[in-house]
Amino acid sequence: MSIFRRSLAAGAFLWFGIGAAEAQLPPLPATIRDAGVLRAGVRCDQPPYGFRGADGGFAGIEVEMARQMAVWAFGSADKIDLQCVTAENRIPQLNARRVDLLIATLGVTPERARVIDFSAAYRWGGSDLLVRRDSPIRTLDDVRSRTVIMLRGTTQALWFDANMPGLNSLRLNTASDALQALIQGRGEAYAHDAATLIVIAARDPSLRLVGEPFAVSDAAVGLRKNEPEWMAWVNAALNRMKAENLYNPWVEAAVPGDIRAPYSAAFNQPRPMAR
Amino acid sequence: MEFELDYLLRQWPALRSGLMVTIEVSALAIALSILVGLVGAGIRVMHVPVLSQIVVAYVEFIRNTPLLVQLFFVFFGLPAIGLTLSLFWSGVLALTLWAGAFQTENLRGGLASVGPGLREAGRALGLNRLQYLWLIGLPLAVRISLPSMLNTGVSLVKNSAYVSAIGLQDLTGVAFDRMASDFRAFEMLTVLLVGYLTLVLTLSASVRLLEHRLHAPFRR
Amino acid sequence: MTHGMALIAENWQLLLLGLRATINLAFVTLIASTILGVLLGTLATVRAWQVRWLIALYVEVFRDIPLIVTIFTIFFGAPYLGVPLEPFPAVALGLSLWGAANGAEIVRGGIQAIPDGQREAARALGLHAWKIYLLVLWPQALRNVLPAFTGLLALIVQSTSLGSLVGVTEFLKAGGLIIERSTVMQGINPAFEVYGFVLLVYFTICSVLTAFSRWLELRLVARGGAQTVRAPDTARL
Repeated sequence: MSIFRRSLAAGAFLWFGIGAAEAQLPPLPATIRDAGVLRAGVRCDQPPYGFRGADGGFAGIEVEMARQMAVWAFGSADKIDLQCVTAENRIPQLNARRVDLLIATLGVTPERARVIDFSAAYRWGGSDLLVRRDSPIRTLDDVRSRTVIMLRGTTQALWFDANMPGLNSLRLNTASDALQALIQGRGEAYAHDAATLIVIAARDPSLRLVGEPFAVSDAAVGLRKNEPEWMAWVNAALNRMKAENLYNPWVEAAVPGDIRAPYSAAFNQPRPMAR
Repeated sequence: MEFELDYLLRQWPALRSGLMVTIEVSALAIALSILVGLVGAGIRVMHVPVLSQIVVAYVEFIRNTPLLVQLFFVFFGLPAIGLTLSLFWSGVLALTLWAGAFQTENLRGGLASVGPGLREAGRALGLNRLQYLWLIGLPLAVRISLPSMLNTGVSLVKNSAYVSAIGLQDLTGVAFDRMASDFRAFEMLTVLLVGYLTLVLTLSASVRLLEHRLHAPFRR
Repeated sequence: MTHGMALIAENWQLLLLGLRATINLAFVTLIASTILGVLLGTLATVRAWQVRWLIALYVEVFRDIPLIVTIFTIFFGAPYLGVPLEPFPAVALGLSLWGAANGAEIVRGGIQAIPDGQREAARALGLHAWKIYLLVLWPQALRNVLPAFTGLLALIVQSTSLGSLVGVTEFLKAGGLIIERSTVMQGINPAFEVYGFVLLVYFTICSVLTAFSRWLELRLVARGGAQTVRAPDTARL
């Protein structure tokens, strides 16, 4: 078959394919459609979910999820307005309408559910502690008498407030500040999502993980309250990502092979129990 | 938008410890900044060759750069040259350097107001410049500049809120931290507004009272 | 050290973007503060004591609350009142309310510095209240407060750095992003050089404004007439 006919056939296939796929997603709400781009809040300091790539642009599994949604909503991955958010300001940014959705390592907690709505969970995530290689800390309880670094507004902050109320904690704003604080000796352990700590530990031999999982929660997309049409669209998009097995290639692209297993598990397997 | 009083009462221990931190940081920084001011003003008045220019540059630099950036530089930047201070001391240092510049100017103005007649008298008595400063000049200057020095102190208490930006759990830091976890912005922000207004108004009123008392002998 | 300098050079576009946002924020705030400040400062000199008391209350509140708290209150509180404000407008509003409080004090001082004789003479000539302000008081006062407003602009430029805390990508935030990227991706922390650079740029801009303010003061005093109003002390931020 000539190249022309082959490309014609491919074009027809894609056309019908996209048409059929579009039919699977409910209509976009008018306000979102009128914006013309998908305005998403993502993390810029949490590999492998949201971070700055080598070229300085947005990269990460959750960033890919956002780009995929832009393709399905507006036809192109370029029709997107990505905004860096921190654990402290992501929900206010959503409610201030600076972004229309959050795919930003957002754990489902009852406190947050009071002010925003969560989509269906797309993965789960646990927490861990990062310490210096020669640190005497071996278990979670070892930190009770020490200074723990964490970020404001994270599930780890909530967990330590509830489970170790007297703990001496150093609350900073970004993962890089926290990492620096650990290296500079301002604290003895850095508590954050295991997903991010695994990547950092893999890159830096002078640090290691304690390895006792705690504060496991589902991660979901954050939306403003009372936007049922948008919620329906986002849930349908997440279902479609799962059905078309799109997470695996993104995980493979963002995470090197030797540490890939926990990330695949986070997307594909059910949430385990932990403290 | 409900205001839950019992939420606020449950947070009271954390807020109170935050208030203690605010007071500690402010008190230390005020005391240290007055020392800085005394030294700086003394250097300027005695026209010490190289140090005077350094003091001038220091004051200009502090007054023309944002306190927030100064704070970030002290906490995040200084470790690179080996000076890693704790959160608390970074905050105290940044606030001290900031207020110290203003205290230097306040005291310099006070020293200038101390009449030349007293300087001549000091010289006649055989005092060198340093002795004059220590025995006559600075004590008088402090009395004259006290109101402006205390006003700088009140501003320092207010600006101590900036230390929350590096994570120090002062009153503002505790409130912001709670807001990030519990989302009760209304309650927390009310506490901050009322707290700082009360602190600043009380301190300002005390300064005005002190000013009034200091002027008493001159009003008869 | 050189790595930090190289990073600054490589990221000049991001820094320039941040600087533009800083300047935009400062100008919007200056305009709003001037308009509102002139209005409030003028009202602070009317005879009705209730009006003067209200203005004094406004000024006291916005100068006593830490600016960081004002901005966070507007940013976090606005959605609860049903008015979602994006970061830039929220910071501009917060800074303007504070700037207007300072501006009002400056204008009030400027009007009150004009000798009473002027106001009396104007009334003797049969001019009505608002005409007195328009034709006699404002032209003199506004010229006298020019140095003080220039000084206030220097303070406004400095206070735009607070925008970095609520997500406005201004100059300080741009520096922070560079540091973040380098720390997490390459494990090197250029905070000393980057924040040092940020300080130097702010110093350059603000010391020019401060010097201009002092020059204006000298020139206006040399011309004679009413006393100029001193710029608000940075300590009374």
